[in-house]
Amino acid sequence: MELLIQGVAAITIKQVVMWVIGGILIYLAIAKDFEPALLLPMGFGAILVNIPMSGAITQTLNGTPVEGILDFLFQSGISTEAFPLLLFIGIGAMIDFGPLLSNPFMLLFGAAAQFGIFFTVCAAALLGFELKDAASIGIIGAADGPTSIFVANYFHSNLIAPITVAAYSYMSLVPVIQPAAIKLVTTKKERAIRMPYKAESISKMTRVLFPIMVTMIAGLIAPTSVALVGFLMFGNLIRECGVLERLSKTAQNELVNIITLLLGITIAASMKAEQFVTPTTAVVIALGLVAFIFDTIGGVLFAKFLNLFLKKKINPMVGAAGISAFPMSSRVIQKMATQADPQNFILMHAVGANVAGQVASVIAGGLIMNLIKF
Amino acid sequence: MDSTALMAFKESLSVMVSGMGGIFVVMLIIFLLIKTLIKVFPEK
Repeated sequence: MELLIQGVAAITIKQVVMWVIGGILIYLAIAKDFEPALLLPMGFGAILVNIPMSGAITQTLNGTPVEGILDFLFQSGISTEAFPLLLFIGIGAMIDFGPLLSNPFMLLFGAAAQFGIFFTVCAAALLGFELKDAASIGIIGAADGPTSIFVANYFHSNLIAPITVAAYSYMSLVPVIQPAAIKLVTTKKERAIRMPYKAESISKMTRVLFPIMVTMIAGLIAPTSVALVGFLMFGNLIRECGVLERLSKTAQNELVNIITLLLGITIAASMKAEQFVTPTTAVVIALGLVAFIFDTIGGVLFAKFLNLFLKKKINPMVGAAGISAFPMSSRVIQKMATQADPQNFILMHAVGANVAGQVASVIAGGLIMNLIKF
Repeated sequence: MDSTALMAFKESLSVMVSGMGGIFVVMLIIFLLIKTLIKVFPEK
C-alpha cells in the first residue's frame, strides 16, 4: 500500500505549480497557436520532470545515480550546443537572403534592432545579476531560440529554462508586442510613409559567395561566433548552391522537425520545480519582454534618426522589422503600414530588414560571448 | 545598490557600447561586401 502512495505523498506545492505552468504552455500551443512546436513539448516536459521521483530525469536509487533520458538528451544535445547548431543548419536553408541582397541598406536596421539585447543586459546587471547571467537574459532580445539557448548554455547559465520559455513565448507574441511599442514612438503620419521598392536581380555567384564571406567576416571579428554563424550560413549555402536540392529539403524539413521535436522536451530537463518556481524566473521573463520592446524601439528610433538626414524618408516601422522574428515581424509591420495608409506597401523593405535581423542577432550573440569573460 | 551590482552595471555599459558598435561595424562590412559582390558578379 505504501508503494502505491509514495509518489502522491512526495508531491510538493512547487511541483503542482510546474504542472499548471506545463498545462498553460500546452494550452497556449494548442488553443492559441503560440509556437506549438516548442511550447507543447516544453509544457509536457515540464510535467514529466516534476512528477515526484520521475524516471525521466536522473534519480539516486540505493545511493547510485540512475541517469534519466531527459538529462541524457540535455547533456548530449544542449550542453554540447549540438541541438541549436543543427537547428541552425535547417534555419539557414530556409532563409532567402534575396530581399536583403537587393536592398542591403536594411542591414543597418538589423543592427539597430539588437539594441534591446544590450539594454536588457544593463538592466539585468542593475538588478543584481552577474554579468554572465545578465548576458544570458539579454540574449532573449535576439528573438531567436537557438541563439538564446546557445549563448545561455555557453555562459553555463542556470536560467536556461526561463530564458527559453521567454524567448519562444515572446517570439509568438510579436504581433502583440511590436504594434504597441511602435505606436509609443511613432505618429500615424510616420507610419504612413511610403517607400517605393525596385527589385534587383541577384546573381547566383553572389548568393553562393555571400554565406561564405559572412562566415569569414563574422569569424574573424568574433571567433566565438563561428559555430553559430557558420552553421546558419552552411544551411544557406546548401540552399543556394543549386546542386544539393535533396540535402536542402532534408535540412528544411526532416532535420528541423527532428531537432525541434527533441529540443523542447529536452529543455524541460531544466524546468525542475526547485529551479524554476522562483522569483528569479519571474524577473527573467519580465526582462525578456523588456528586451523585445527595446529591440523594437531601438530599430524605430534609429530609422527616425536617419530620417533627419535623408531626403527620401524611411518608414520608421521598417526599423522595428530588424528584429530576428522572421517572418512574423515583417508581416506585422506591413499590416500596420496598411492600417495607416491602405495603399502603403513596405513589405519587401520589412522582409529585408527582418532577414538582416537574423544575421545581426547571431552576430550579437557572438559578440556578447566574446566581450564577456567568465 | 551594492558595489558588485554597480561594477557589473558599469561593465555592462561598456559591453553595450562595444557590442552595438561591433554589430554596426560588422553590418557595414557586410553592406560593402554585398555592394562589391553585386558589382563584380552582376545578374546576366
